[in-house]
Amino acid sequence: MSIPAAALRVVRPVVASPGGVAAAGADYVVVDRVRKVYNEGSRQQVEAVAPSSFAIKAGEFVALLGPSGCGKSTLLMMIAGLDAPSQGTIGVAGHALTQPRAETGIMFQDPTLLPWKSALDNVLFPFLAAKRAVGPADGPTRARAATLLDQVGLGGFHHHKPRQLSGGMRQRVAICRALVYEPDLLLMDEPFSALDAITRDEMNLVLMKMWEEHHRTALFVTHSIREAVYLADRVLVMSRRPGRIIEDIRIPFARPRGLEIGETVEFNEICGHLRGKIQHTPQ
Amino acid sequence: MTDIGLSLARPPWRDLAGLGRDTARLIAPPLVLAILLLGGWEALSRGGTLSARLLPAPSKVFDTFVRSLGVLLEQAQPTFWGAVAGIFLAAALGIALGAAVSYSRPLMQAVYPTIVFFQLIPKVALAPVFLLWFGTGFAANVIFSVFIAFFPVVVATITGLQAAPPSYERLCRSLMMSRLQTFAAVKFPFALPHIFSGLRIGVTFAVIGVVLGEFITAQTGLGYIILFSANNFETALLLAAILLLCGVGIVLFAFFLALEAIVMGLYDSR
Amino acid sequence: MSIRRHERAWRPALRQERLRPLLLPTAFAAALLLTWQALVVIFGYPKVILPAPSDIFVALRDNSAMIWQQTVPTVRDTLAGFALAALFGVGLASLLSFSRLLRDAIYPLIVVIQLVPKIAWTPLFIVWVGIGWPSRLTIAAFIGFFPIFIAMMAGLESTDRSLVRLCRGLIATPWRTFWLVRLPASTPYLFAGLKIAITLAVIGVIVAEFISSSEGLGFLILQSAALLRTDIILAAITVLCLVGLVCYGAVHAGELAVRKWHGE
Repeated sequence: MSIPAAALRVVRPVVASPGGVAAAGADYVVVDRVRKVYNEGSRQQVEAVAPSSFAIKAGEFVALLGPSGCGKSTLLMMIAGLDAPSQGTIGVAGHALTQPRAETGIMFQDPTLLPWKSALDNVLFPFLAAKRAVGPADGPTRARAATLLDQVGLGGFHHHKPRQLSGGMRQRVAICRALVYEPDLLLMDEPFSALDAITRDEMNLVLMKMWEEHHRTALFVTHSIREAVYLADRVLVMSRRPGRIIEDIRIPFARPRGLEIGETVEFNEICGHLRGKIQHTPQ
Repeated sequence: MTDIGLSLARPPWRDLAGLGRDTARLIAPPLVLAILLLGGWEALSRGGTLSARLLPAPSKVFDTFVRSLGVLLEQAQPTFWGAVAGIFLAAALGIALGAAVSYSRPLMQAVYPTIVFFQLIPKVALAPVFLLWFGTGFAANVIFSVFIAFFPVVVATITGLQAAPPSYERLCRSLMMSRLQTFAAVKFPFALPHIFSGLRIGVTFAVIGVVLGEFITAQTGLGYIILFSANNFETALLLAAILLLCGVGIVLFAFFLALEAIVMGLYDSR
Repeated sequence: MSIRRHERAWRPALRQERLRPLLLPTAFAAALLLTWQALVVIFGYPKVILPAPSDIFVALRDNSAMIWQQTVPTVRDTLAGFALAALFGVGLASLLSFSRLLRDAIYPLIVVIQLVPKIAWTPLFIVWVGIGWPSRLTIAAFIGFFPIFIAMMAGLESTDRSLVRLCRGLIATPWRTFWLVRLPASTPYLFAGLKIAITLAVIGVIVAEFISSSEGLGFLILQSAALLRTDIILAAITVLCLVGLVCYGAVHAGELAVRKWHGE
């Protein structure tokens, strides 16, 4: 079920975040000398993330690229508030981060849908966590959930159970679930790594479309160079463990991007450059 | 989806016949064997090869069953209701305790091995102790029945509450759900298949507990009838009582199967 | 919900955390025992209702000869019944694996017989074979038969289809297929069934002794109940637990030996 390029609309709204502070271009996520060490002080001490600093601007789509085990997922977890840095601070929307935020949306590699709920109910699941202003039965919320499912191409599947959906379809439901409560920050931890190459390309298109439609600040962790260059405005490269940011480049392609830009010389030059950066990092 | 063309070509009544044929293939062999065995049993009894005292003919057993139906049903009441009370109480206590123990990991690490250890004790051997503690009435039987049926339910609940893959817990944390919300929305539904398998074992144990209590106190119930007829060599009555006890077990088991079907229809995580 | 609590869940195990699964249950069990002892000794809970752990220990020590004397028949009947159950269970399941028709006919009937709580058959067996060790043996064998039979059936069915197909391709006789492929494949299931069976066999013997017997641990328990010697009852039950554990351990050891012999 591929989405023709004509269906991708040109859209670039300016995001006014619920926090009220950031205009497009301001620093939205600030990571300041963040370091993560496991088993500190014991013989099994392991430094997962070396002191790293970077900032993500409001409305930016940033890819965090690195080899397996380099600590990029750990870094994402810390930005999500699901893990605490051993040193350094993280700030989101102008506030220091100490716990998960209600306004952050997260996608994991595993779609983690509740097997007994329909696709629509799974999208509405965040509203079951009572810290929201409205519940899952709220009319406009349900309408928004239905619209999201339609937008990702699951129009006739609202009432299907996860076991009736393929892996790619489940991840689409997960995208909708991450977006339904209109987060101002979208964090994604290798959400498409478990999918086959063809489905992965389709999912990249779906994600692009949804991001341009709903335009949030986004951080996307991946170990696929092509995926990073295709999706992002900016790519941060992380070294092998202990991971630190070793490259920060801007991707020059205009949006909307079709899959065909992957064939251009410029695209492949950027990929080559990034590949070199990853392979030649000193231990 | 792929065979639409083919299935349209077959007349619809063919499918019904196929269904009937599959069921027949399943039921016919054991049914035929059962009839053969019963027939052989009847013939041997009539012929005098089988002592009527040790193993009366099926016709005699059936006859006794019908004649004594009143008494049998009357005595089935304490057995049936005792088992019902036993399993329901065991289920409530077992699930509650299982949930409580699973609340925190250190608590579970501390308590679970002790519970497993209690499983090792042949609990039926404790029946006389319960006799000492609670006397010989219906309540005592129920309490003993609860005691036996309780452990498989607790163990199943604890195991089940750990069945949710850890990615779901992470999801709930990321959505800022409280412990209780995570429990209700994710952990408990994932535990349901395990809990039901524990309940099935518990039902069997609850019936055993009641019957054993009736064996020992020998006052009412199907267990008492079985013991009484054994003592008086009324083998036909004994077999009739066993038959009815089987029925009691089936009814209870079927109830829980139905309950499981309904609940899993709503919350299937398999 | 703070990060700190979940960071603890995140961190890989430090040495003191690896010891926790051992220390916590031991501490908990010790606390239970102490509370129990205190209830009786300090609060004067009547010993007829609940003897203290110390009382049980004393009863064990003082009556060890008598308890041992009653343990022997129980263990003997349990093991003999278990052996019979294993013989019939494995035998019948193996036989049925050769004939689809027999299997389709007999297996459902056996499953249906299971529906009756098996201890209810005990008085019937007493009528048939008389009181004393014959009925104890029979009930132990009867109760133990079903888990072994069903487990063995499941094990034989579970043989990898591709292995069976290989045997057919090599024109192996049904017997050779059974002996070389199906039987070894079924051992994990068989041992699971054997473990259940040995536990149930103990229970069967005890119940038989409750109903009518003049020897054995079950008889001892019943007699002690009449004499209000709850401490001896609990002492006998402790011995029973140990017996059960030893038997279970023996089956488990057997399983490990067979696995080793298979070269796993």
